[in-house]
Amino acid sequence: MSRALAPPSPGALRACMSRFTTGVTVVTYAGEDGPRGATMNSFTSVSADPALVLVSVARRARCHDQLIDSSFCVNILGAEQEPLARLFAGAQGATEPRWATAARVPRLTNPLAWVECEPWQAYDGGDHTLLVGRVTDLGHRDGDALTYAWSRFGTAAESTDGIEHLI
Amino acid sequence: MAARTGKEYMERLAASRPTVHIQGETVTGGIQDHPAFRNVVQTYAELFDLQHSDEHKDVLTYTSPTSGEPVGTSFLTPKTPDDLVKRRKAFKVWADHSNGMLGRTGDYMNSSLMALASAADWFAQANPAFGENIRRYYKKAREEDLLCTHTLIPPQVNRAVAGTQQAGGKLAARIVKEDDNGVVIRGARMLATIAPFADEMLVFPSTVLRGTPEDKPYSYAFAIPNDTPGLRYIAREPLDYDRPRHDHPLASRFEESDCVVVFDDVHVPYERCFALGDAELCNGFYSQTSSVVHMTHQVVTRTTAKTEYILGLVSLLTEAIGIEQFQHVQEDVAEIITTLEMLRAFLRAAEADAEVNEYGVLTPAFAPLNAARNLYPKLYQRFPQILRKLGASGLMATPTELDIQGPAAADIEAYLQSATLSGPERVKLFRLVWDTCVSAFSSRQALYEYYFFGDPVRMAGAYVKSYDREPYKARVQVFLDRA
Ligand SMILES: Cc1cc2nc3c(=O)[nH]c(=O)nc-3n(C[C@H](O)[C@H](O)[C@H](O)COP(=O)(O)OP(=O)(O)OC[C@H]3O[C@@H](n4cnc5c(N)ncnc54)[C@H](O)[C@@H]3O)c2cc1C
Repeated sequence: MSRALAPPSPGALRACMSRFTTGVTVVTYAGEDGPRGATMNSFTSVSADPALVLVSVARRARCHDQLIDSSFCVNILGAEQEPLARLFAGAQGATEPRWATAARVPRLTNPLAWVECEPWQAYDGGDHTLLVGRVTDLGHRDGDALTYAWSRFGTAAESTDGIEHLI
Repeated sequence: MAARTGKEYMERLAASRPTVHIQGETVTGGIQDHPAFRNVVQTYAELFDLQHSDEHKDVLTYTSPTSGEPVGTSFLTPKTPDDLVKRRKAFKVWADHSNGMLGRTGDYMNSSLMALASAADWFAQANPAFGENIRRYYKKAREEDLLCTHTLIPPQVNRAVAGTQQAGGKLAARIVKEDDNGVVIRGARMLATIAPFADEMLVFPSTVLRGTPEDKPYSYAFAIPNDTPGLRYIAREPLDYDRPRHDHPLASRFEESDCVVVFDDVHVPYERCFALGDAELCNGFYSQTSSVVHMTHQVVTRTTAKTEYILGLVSLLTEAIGIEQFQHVQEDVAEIITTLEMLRAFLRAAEADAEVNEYGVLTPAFAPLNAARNLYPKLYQRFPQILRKLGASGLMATPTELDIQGPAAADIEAYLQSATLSGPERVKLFRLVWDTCVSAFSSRQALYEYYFFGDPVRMAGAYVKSYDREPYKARVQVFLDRA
């Protein structure tokens, strides 16, 4: 039990957390000189009534200060959108983002699903800020989902089970 | 009312006006006279008549608990081992009549309806009306002796996405509207065998549904008359070429039409719905009601009859041309015999290990039936292959009835005779072998046996997932651990 009392090394924590499979999102918002976004997998739904979702944003991230007080959009990525995830995670020249025109809050075109939010509450989360947003709009399409586990991207297929699984 | 006669079946069909597109023609009624259907309709009429024949009526019918009239045995809710045996014997009489070539005789869906109605309480969980509806519908089908077809799978557009998402959710049959007395269905389902000459269409759950709002319009089970307005069938090219029975002995009797089903805003009244908007109910439809078990009991009985026919046919063939004594021929015949004995053993095991289910129905054991269901799609493929190999050039030495009676008669007599048969007898036999393993009809049979219960590949996946292997793993583990 003594091990549990000592603070885990960052490596050990990462090793542990990398075993938890998540989806991948790009959180987008209006930056000072145009739409901006950051890849995040620390996304979770919080409440249905009112509709609240949460992202955990690193304090040292460039987007941190702007996101705290702005409306934002969580773009949940489809399996084929891994290049976008890499781009907004800082990879050079991975791809060019395309922005949905006429969106109130900047968002990507054609994500698997998107959740538009206005700021609701921000909480201290250590070196992160827990940003809870109130959902103002949303949408989705069909397709496989992009996943992240073991520090690698993967996909979760939409169900294509046929009658064989019923009978 | 009671078990129908062939004449009564034909009369009802004559009064029905289903819309069938076939070879550029739109037929609305008169199915029993149409060249594409009249022969197979005649065969179905024969099946109904068997219910009244002195030889078979005791097995093919029982006394209706409501009307006191004799009704079809496949509607019998089995309570005792004798009931199960009687059901199997009845399946066998009909299957024998077509050598197992008719895949959709009425007893197939009747068995399903019987099980579904017995599990009415399960349907009632969602809404008491559904329980009432399935019970009432089963009774109607039994008392009117209705011939039902069914349609399950969504159109084959893009199997990379779920059935509910074909072409962005705009193709598969779905509920588009709900009004005061029912729902409106738009879209298509892939196939319905015997649709043009059935009385009713059962539209039952297809792919696995998610409980999300998007899947709600695809969550349904209902039954409608075949000539419901807005319902259209697109029939494939008929394989009955309207040729003499001598020349096309199977296709001229047993050509079950397969149709794509189009719902053009078909209105379905609530009293004909058994499930609506409930994904969980739809996903449990076959397994939770034991419906699949009773259907498979019928199917394995039919495939047993079909295998008996193949064994008889191959034996006449090998005798006719004197190839019985060759060892590889015996090996092939042995393969057919082992398949037959295996199917019989499965049937017997399923009946011997039957148990009363939670709805009080004596239900055959599914494990042996499920094994048979997973094996036969592949085992059957071997039969036409064996017949082609053993029949060889004889399968092309198959002049027609007109030749046998025409100017070539003497040549046929002389050169097409065989070790045990005269020329005309041998031609007649070889035409049957040809129709079992070479003709278009035979290819459709092979495709049917491969796919009608679903894709064998995915069936195997579902089979493995549902099979409890823990005890076997544990046993091996114990052995590993043994000092
Ligand atoms: C003669 C005939 C009569 C029939 N009659 C009826 C009837 O009366 N009523 C009725 O409801 N149905 C009927 N069927 C349909 C039958 O149920 C289907 O053929 C069966 O379920 C297989 O589905 P599919 O044909 O759409 O094949 P598909 O799903 O399109 O499969 C085509 C191929 O792709 C592969 N594939 C596709 N998707 C997957 C996946 N997710 N995973 C792995 N492999 C995949 C399959 O293995 C297969 O090789 C009939 C079929 C035939 C051939």
